[in-house]
Amino acid sequence: MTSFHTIHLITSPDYLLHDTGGPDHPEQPSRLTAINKRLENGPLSKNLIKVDPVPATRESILLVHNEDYLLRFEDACLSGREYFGHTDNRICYDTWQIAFLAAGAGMTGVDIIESEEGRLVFAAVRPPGHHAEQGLPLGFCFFNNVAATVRYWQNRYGRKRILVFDFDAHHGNGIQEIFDEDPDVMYISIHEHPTFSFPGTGWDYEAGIGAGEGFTLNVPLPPGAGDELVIQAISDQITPAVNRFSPECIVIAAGFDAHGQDDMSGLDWSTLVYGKIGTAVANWADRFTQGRVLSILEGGYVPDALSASVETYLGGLAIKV
Amino acid sequence: MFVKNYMTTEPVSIRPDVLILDARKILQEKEFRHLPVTDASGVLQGMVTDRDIRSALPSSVASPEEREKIMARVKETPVSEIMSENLSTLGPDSTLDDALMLLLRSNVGAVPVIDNNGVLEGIFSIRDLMGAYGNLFGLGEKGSFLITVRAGDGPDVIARVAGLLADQGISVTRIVREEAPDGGVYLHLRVNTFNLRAVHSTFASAGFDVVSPLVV
Repeated sequence: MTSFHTIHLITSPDYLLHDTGGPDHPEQPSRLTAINKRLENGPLSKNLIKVDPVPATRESILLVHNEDYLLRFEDACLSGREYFGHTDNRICYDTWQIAFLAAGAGMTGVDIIESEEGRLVFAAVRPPGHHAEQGLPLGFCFFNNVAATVRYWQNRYGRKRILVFDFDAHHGNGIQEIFDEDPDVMYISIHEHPTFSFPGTGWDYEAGIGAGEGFTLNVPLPPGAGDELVIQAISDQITPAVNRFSPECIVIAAGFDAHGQDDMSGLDWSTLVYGKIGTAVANWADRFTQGRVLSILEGGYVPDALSASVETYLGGLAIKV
Repeated sequence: MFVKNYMTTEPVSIRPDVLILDARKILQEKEFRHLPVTDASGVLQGMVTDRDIRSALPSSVASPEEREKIMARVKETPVSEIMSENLSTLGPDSTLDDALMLLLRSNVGAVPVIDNNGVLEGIFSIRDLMGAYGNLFGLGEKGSFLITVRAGDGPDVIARVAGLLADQGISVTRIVREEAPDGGVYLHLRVNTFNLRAVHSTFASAGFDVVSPLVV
């Protein structure tokens, strides 16, 4: 009979308080409700341990964003503005606090992993983070949750070489910008080609800058690309790059909007391929990090497809072989 | 849309009496391929290129005696003897379209830009042209992507599409109309939003087909 390793699920009903202004906005609270409902009622339910996130401190956010940016973001939220930077980035009064709670989930996960309470962590958070740059909100993102978690892991626990793998349909320009010159953080992203897809970055020649050259790998896929190209890219390009880098820790920017039913990208992945991605990640973790992986939710905008893909990914990640 | 915003200003230039080998040194050190030649008051006299210099130098298959003989002459020859003098130039008000047509027609890689008195103001290369059009089309503008719709005929199609997107609060920064070789008329738009869903539903409800670039 199939059995699974334990997964710590970090999430909070407070994440629903980030109000994006009504049903027309793709980044909806119902995304998280659907994920939680599906996981609670599905085959992984017995293997889940639910954990409340601890909010990130201001100091830990300042490791990836600048002071001026924080002041502008705080002012926009608390003064009742409807958006921050671009009309896409809808905010409400609570967004300011919830953003700290979203960034803190990854850090809470790091503490769980480092205290050896658990090896697999999934942080189901919103707002998402991978488009947010040091001084720029973009694509529904305000704090870069993944980048802040990476810096926390390095600073709090002295870990050095950290792999970030981002399989959201959109390029994580923010993660790339923050670690562009850093040879200790390898950023690997697979996404829809930047000509046809937001945010218009992530060309295959973007490979890092200065000392960080060679520590960014972008794998753009043509619009319409299905499972075959993902699996091929993981085996031909991504796994060899992970092996060369030999990470001490693995953080996954887990976006599920490449799903064929998700209308926020032109990619055409199946639910099942997320299980294969999960298994590939588990194999890297077995090889390099004693099975430890921290995944943080990014995109995925059709609740049914999102929740099914999350469950399949976690199943692939946690399955006992 | 004007050359002066995209040209290289204050380009390195030389006087006509500079020797060929000194000009070659400048081109090699600066990694340029074009060197404008001006008089003391900055008025353009000609242009010398790495190709002009190569053809002045002895052939690599020439005998040692021949090479030596030619090199002795080259060493004493100023650039005025090998530079091109009947130059195509661009002026202070030239547009990128002027530059494109000129570069297409003249088979050169770069064109000097001069003021009304013939004084050298800048140099404009094919590379500058590509950068300029890339900039105009918004290539690499973070937060945007390209979407193509089948437009159909009618003089108001651009206005309609722009209006549709404006009504939905969707920011569009470029609209280019193309009459394609397949006979279709397309609008290529650079939209500045993450909300692909809203873009698609806006076009669908107005009866415009979004053209998928390709499906594997």
